[in-house]
Amino acid sequence: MWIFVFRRFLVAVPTLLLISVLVFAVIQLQPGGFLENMLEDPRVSRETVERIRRQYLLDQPVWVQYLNWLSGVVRGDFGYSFLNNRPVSELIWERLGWTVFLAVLTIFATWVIAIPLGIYTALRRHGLGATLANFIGYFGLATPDFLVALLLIFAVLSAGGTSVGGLFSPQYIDAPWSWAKFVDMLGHLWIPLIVIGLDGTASIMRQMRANMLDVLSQDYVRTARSKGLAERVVLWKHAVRNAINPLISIAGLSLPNLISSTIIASIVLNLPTIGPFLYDSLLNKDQYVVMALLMMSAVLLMVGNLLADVALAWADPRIRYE
Amino acid sequence: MSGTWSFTRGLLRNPLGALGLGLTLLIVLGGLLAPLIAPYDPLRQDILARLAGPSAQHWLGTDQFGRDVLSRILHGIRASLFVAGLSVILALLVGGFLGVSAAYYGGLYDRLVMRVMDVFLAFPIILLAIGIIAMLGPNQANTALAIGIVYTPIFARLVRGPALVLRESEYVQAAQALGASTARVIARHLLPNLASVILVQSTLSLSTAILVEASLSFLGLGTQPPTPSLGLMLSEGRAYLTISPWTSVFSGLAILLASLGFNLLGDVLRDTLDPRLKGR
Repeated sequence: MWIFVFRRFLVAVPTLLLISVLVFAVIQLQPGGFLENMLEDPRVSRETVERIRRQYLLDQPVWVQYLNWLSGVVRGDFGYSFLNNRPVSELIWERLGWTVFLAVLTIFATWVIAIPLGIYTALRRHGLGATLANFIGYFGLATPDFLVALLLIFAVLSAGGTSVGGLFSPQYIDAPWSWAKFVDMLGHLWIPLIVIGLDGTASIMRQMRANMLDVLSQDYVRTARSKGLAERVVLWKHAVRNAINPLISIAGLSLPNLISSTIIASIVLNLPTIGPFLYDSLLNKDQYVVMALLMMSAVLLMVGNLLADVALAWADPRIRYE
Repeated sequence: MSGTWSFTRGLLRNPLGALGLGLTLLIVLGGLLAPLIAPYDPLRQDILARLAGPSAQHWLGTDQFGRDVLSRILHGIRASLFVAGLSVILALLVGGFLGVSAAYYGGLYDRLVMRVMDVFLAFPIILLAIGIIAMLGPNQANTALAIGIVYTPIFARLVRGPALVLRESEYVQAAQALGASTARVIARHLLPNLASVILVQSTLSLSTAILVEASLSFLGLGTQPPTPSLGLMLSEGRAYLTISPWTSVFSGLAILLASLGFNLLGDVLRDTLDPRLKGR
């Protein structure tokens, strides 16, 4: 298996290089930039901007800039955020914890809810509960997450709540961790969980349902039934195990969403994640931050795909590392 | 013609299909006819009737400037359909062309095109769209362009698979043996067989494109004020959520129904057009 992982890693390197060129090119093609915008401020002189430019080698030819950036990235130095006046890696580190925490929690909750619902709706295809779940699924897919966020905020405010948004009540934000702070967080956490997770839950549920229906009509399921296996065994060992495989292989694709899926929800709900940070940097053309986050997104996709392949080989003995 | 009729009837027999078709018609007609059926000018302000609830004069209430919410929603749907429609057409034309030609010519060209498509797919939709708009500047046309670019690889990938199979099929090879030109083979033999896949994906893409457009406008990156836009209305209504939730709630509902309609329609179309799913 390690050989497989290693070989995949070798294949990933040229792809990442290609992506890095693309990311860099896109940023270069962008008209203007943060430093140009700085000139609009009368307090900033042209000399200052030129000095910053020289300091970060931005006066050099494009390929020198690219190589300089790339060698920095390889060494873990992602450059400098002009917008925040701090190194990019520091800024990302600060937000990474909450981002990963929220994302992992959401992905976990999504699967735990969606998979059983998908199985249930496939088995009781014409039942009332399944029809209802299906219909809610359609709504889940069609509702923009900011609408869900606003409706929840509205509901909490109408019910007499005062502190919505964020992850803590004001008095706990800078407080050290304590039991009370933890409970306070749980009281806030459910809103972002629903907002970020609804869409994914609906889509995984629908896919699981479709896969189950597909598998249940297969010959081997009929064979398993006809040889007298208990329905429970047919269901879990024959049907579900096969139906879940396609989902595992696309689960890897959801890893880059760690960064992007929270952009809008985080802006509306005021969450301390990478999403709003990326949004601000994009709009302000804070080039090193944007490049770092885009590269991170691409790396996450590769890692996600690799993890998915490994998980798939583990879940499905028919698939071997080739 | 009778084929169209029986097809429509099959669609309507499924309650979800009927609902999807109904919603889609309602939304499309509402958007197209907005200038004719909207009770007020969507930009006309009535300062005395600010933030009013639904009433006989203003069916869905008024916003913070006293503008009629119903009229603004109808015009907002129009803008949203315009952007979503344009982006899907763009993605369909460019992506479809790249996918079919990649499948048809194969070789290095195929690998190159699909590799570039994969690079685009490596970035989450909303992230890529925001990035493109940050580059081009926010306005309606650029939003359509951004969403179109984001959806292009999806269409390219979608048609490439079936096109590869079709290229090897006997009737395509027969047509080639008879000396049909490449253009003729693609237009007469490949495209008609890809129509159902394309139709289903276009409908489903419209559903998500409406959501992406709304998200971008919500962030202030799509349609610019004072032009009515559903996402923007929802965002502006945020400040008045507790006093007068009408603007936000109704514009959000319009986004939901538009997206839901196309989504249901696309799903039922897929079930109807895919013979493997018949009788399920």
